[in-house]
Amino acid sequence: MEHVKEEELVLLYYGEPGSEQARVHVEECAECRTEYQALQRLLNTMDAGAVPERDADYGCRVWERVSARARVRTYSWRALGAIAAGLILGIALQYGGNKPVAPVAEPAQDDVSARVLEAALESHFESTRLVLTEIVNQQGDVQMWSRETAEDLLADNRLYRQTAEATGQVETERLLEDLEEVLVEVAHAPADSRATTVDLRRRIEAKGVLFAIKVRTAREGNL
Amino acid sequence: MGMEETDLAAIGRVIAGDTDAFALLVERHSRSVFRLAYRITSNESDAEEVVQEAFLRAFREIRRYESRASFSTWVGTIAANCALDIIRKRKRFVDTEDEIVSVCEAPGPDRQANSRRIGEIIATTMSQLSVQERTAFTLRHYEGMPIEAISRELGLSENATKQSIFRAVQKLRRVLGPWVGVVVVTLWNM
Repeated sequence: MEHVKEEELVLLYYGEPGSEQARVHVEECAECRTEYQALQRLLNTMDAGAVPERDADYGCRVWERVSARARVRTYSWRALGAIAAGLILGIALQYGGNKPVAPVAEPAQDDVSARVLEAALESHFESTRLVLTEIVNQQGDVQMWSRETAEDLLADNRLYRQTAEATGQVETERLLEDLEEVLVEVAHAPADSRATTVDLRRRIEAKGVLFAIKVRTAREGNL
Repeated sequence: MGMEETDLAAIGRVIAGDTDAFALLVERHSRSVFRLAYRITSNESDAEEVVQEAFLRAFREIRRYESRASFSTWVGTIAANCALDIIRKRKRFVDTEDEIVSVCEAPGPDRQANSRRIGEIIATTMSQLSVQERTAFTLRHYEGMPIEAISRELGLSENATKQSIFRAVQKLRRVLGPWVGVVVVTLWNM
């Protein structure tokens, strides 16, 4: 009698199609049955393999990061809208005084532009805060997620900074300038380096950008 | 209330524009995706990245989800591919046909110590498999994916997938063979 090969026993264990013949043979042949039982014992023990456990809040943390990153992509479009709005606002401020514009119409247009810009900035600051907080709390290397998100945010940040400059929002421009410096470093941080994480954490804390975002967000919320 | 929303219903809400419904899917499946990612990357930090990347891709591609497979299988497949991407980027593992390093020590009399040690040996042995062997074996053994589906998802022929799984089992058997009887006794008495 020809015995079943180890490969066929593996297919039988996993219930793969075509293993029916092997099953019949194993039922009839004591030698192959012993062999199969040894394989079963081996594969059953594989579940004892050590995998670090994640706590109950893990899913929330993952979602926080995923949604922040998804939001970054969405708000890149919003950034463009905000730039357009900012430019309108800038032009209105620059030339408004020289033109005989009706006093009621001008503030209304400025308000809309400013609100669009502010809403976009609010999301931008929130996404930036998430990435930088992640790095401050990170124990190991700078994660690919942080680097990629920082790169996305950097592009938006530059546009916002230019808009803030064009519209004369000095404080916002300064904050965005500081953020840009930090985001450049995060985006270009090398992988696999704990030293980089520690260095970045020091830079973030030294610049005080997280605190500055907090203050600005709180102030805007109170307006 | 009280009835848990199904994955399919949550997916429907996400497609309809309620993006927060995706949080439910993340909360429900992130830990199992982490386990899968860890088994393939053998690295905690890489596994964390894989989880985020996999869910982000799933979120963006949610309209392409087909209910033929469960959401966990779908996101697991995405995670397996993300894990392979990250391994390629890191170049941490070099596939060789070399023998894996076997464990010289023998099981001792302490059951709890043996049980702990077995977990470590399995993890070490898994990390010494080639990337292809480890991925194919993980998807077949831990995720319960049929070989035909693994082949499709990894872009391998069915024969190549089978051979990867066979080689993985052979290597595991060589290293873990002496411990298997001990595991059975240990688990039985726990």
